[in-house]
Amino acid sequence: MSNTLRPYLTCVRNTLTAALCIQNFPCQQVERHNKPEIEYRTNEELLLNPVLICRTENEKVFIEPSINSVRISVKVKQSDELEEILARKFTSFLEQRAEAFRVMRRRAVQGYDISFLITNVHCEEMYKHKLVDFICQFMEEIDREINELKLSVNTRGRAVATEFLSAFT
Amino acid sequence: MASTLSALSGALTKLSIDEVGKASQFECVRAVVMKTKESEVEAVVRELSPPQRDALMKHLYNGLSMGDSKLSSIMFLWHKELTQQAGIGCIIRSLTDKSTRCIDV
Repeated sequence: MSNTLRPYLTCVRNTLTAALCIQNFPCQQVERHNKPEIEYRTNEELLLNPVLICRTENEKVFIEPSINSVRISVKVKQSDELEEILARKFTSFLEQRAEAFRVMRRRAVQGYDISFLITNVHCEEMYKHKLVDFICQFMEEIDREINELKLSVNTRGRAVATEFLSAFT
Repeated sequence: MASTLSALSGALTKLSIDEVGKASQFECVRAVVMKTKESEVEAVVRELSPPQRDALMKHLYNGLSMGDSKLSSIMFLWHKELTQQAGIGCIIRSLTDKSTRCIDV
């Protein structure tokens, strides 16, 4: 399974590099307003074709580009209930601190674990290739984090149970 | 390899706009992609013309959206090869072409 991780990330990286060709575009409905079009979706012509890249059924990335913003939603691999709970807790922890990440969305898109919203302002303030690097690194590390969390939960559980049940033997 | 190329060219010459045409072309592309050896991918992609490469990219994204892990792993290889040869522009054209979009979400 890990042999498709590198190609999967390469594909996502290339697609993101293409999707992040965004520019400033003022709102067409309201004067002096500047909104990320992918979130408001008021004009069809400003939205580009969304792209879904699946590594497996349960591990995918959904990239929705538009003229001035891109929304990237990631579904993390969760093979059992424990991993599901850990993923939910972990992503909720990150989402509460979304302000610090700047590009993170506080609520994930329906059907995904975590979402990012990158606007033209972010691309002006930060290097585009670094933004892409960040997303790809994030995807790689979240898997690792959840595996580590799962291991530590199991280890702690085992230690506690051994300690507790040793009182009865 | 020549048969792979001719089969692929036939399906990629013009990406059809209607659903049925797209589906049948995709099936053809999928069959060819699954059968091609890894070593031949580069050569096949090199022989394709630019419009065919654009059409292939759209089909690749269509295939990647299906969620089949075996198909996805082969398509990642093709995607990487195609991006290397056709450039990021190929991806951008598949993102911006509304008339022949392959997935509807």
